[in-house]
Amino acid sequence: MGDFTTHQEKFADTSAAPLSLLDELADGRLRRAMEHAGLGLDDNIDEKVQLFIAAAAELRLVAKHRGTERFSGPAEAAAFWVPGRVEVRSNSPFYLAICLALKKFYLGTVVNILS
Amino acid sequence: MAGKHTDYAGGKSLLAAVPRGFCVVAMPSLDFSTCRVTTLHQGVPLGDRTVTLDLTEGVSSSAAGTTPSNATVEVATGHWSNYVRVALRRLKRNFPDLRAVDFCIGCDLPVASGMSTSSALICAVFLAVDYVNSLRGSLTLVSSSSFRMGRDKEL
Repeated sequence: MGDFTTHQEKFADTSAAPLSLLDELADGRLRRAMEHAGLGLDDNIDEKVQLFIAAAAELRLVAKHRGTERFSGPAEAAAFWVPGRVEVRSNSPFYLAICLALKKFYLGTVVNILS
Repeated sequence: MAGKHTDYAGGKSLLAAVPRGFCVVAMPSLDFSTCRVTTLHQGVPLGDRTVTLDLTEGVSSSAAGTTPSNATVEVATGHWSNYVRVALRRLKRNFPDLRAVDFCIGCDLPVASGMSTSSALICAVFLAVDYVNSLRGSLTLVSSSSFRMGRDKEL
């Protein structure tokens, strides 16, 4: 928190960050970032990219509505991916079946952990 | 793994991330005190997808089209935005000078499937707030600044 004030000042000057996240999302860098984060061909990356683009477009509308773009283009924006989770071992063994069905689970590792 | 109640399994619980979750795009709010949050989830009616939350008044919330200061309608119990409001309120308690953030969320998690949608949403709120306020090291996946500063060269 030592540089909290510094960051507030940084964002107060929107002219310092006129880049458009929307354009960056659409040029393939987001897909590569998601692949780098561990998502594969079976994980519907294209659908997620479309969600990001739709979210960025919506945010741009919000920026226009609120005046963020009034002077020098959209303020600095960022994209985040937050995965859901399943309980592999708990009071709900049903989740184990879900996890296996999602093909993102290394059964051998879990067997070792549970044993 | 935030929010996990390990007592569900007598103190033992093994969790795994899944390839479904929340797509979040965030940017600093111009007025510093009012957050505008939008969901793209198709399960939420179109007129109910945007809320405004005021950080200066205990993180009160209002429906789209009203200003927090004159809002008279509180969001109903069980409304999706309550998770956002509670997370913001808690962060505001710890960081009184919190700057507001506007963000939009998309989600490909199945509804009510036990895949921790609520926990993921709370984590998403934190990441958005953290991005604007630098509460800790950034987990930014893609950002204008990171590209400009070359932190994501491997991408």
